[in-house]
Amino acid sequence: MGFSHHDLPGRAQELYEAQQAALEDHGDDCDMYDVEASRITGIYDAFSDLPDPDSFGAYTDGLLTAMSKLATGGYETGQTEGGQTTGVASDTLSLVAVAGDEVDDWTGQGADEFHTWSEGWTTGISNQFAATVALRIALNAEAAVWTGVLKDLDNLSKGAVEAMKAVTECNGDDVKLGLSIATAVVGIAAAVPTAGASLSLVAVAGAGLGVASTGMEIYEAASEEPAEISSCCPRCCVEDVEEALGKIKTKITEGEELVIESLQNNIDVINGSWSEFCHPAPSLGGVPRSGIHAYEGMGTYPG
Amino acid sequence: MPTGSGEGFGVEVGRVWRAGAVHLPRVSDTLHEASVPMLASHAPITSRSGGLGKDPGGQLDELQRLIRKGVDDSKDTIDVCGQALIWAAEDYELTDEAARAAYQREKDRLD
Repeated sequence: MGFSHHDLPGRAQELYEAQQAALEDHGDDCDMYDVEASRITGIYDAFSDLPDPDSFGAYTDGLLTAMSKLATGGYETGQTEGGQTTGVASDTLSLVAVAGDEVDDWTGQGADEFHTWSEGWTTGISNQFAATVALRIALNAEAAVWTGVLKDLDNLSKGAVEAMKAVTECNGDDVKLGLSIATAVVGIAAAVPTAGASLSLVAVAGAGLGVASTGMEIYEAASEEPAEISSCCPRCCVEDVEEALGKIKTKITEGEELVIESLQNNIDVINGSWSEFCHPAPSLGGVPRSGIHAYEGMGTYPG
Repeated sequence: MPTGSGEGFGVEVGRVWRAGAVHLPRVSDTLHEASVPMLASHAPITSRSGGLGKDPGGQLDELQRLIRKGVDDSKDTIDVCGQALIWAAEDYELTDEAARAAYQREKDRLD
């Protein structure tokens, strides 16, 4: 079983017990050994209810299925041990063009417009594919934020206990940590590269197609920001843990702001170009049965 | 009702029927399959208490809703066009046996 935020109360209790031991051993000499109990036992309370990055997998897998249905061409799906994995074009989407060709020889407004519509139809589907890719990337980036948070909380809470146990009359070694969330999500990238799409749909940089469903690969690609927990005295130790927790909170907000910015950009692009995202029906689709052959040719219907 | 005759005409009408009754429904099914995974809200995976960060669940749901609407609307368009092509084929009166036989052969094709 890996670390989860449910382990934090136990880690806080360990920290408290280490502080009590330090207080008992050395607290007579210095008031810096005395820290309010609730400050330690509740030190991780803000992190008691977090998104679980493992729960994102069902969503990103579902979007991968949607991508396979909307792909008008080959595409990259992710990295595996064997290298880049690829998806193939959906084998049914081209049947719209086949249907368009079947009416190419027919005369009439309905037939003509349907044929023309069928030739450009895949552009809208390619835009829908690109948007699905962007959504999946945003989900992976969000998962990466929480993967980084859990890793940092695991390191920090273990390091805090270690530092507290090392408190020996202000001459223990400080515990040095690397907080990874800082660069897990690094910014907004350019448009998602998908053949045939006409809209520029943006992605979160560093959260490309080649990421695992939990966002772990984004996390692993991130560099670390150093943090240090003092073993000088219990109060210094607790203050450093609180400072590191504050840093983690800031980075969560910064990471999620980038995810939100990417999503909102895509929402705005789609809303601003809906007819490119979803091609309107050709006139043939609006012809009642009584009008199909009411005038010359197929589907010439003035109403 | 418009009329036509001859094997060639029967084949042409049969192809229009196949476009509407065979090809486009397969596309419609594919679009339906693309839409199904995009039904669930993201709230269960992004929500948190304690005021940490900025929950992107609303934007995730909205982008997903737009994609699903685009896919569903595209499917609806495929469906109505398919129906119109079936009507167009079925409403021809084929006036000789050669046309009727060719039309039926096109309808019965398995590919």
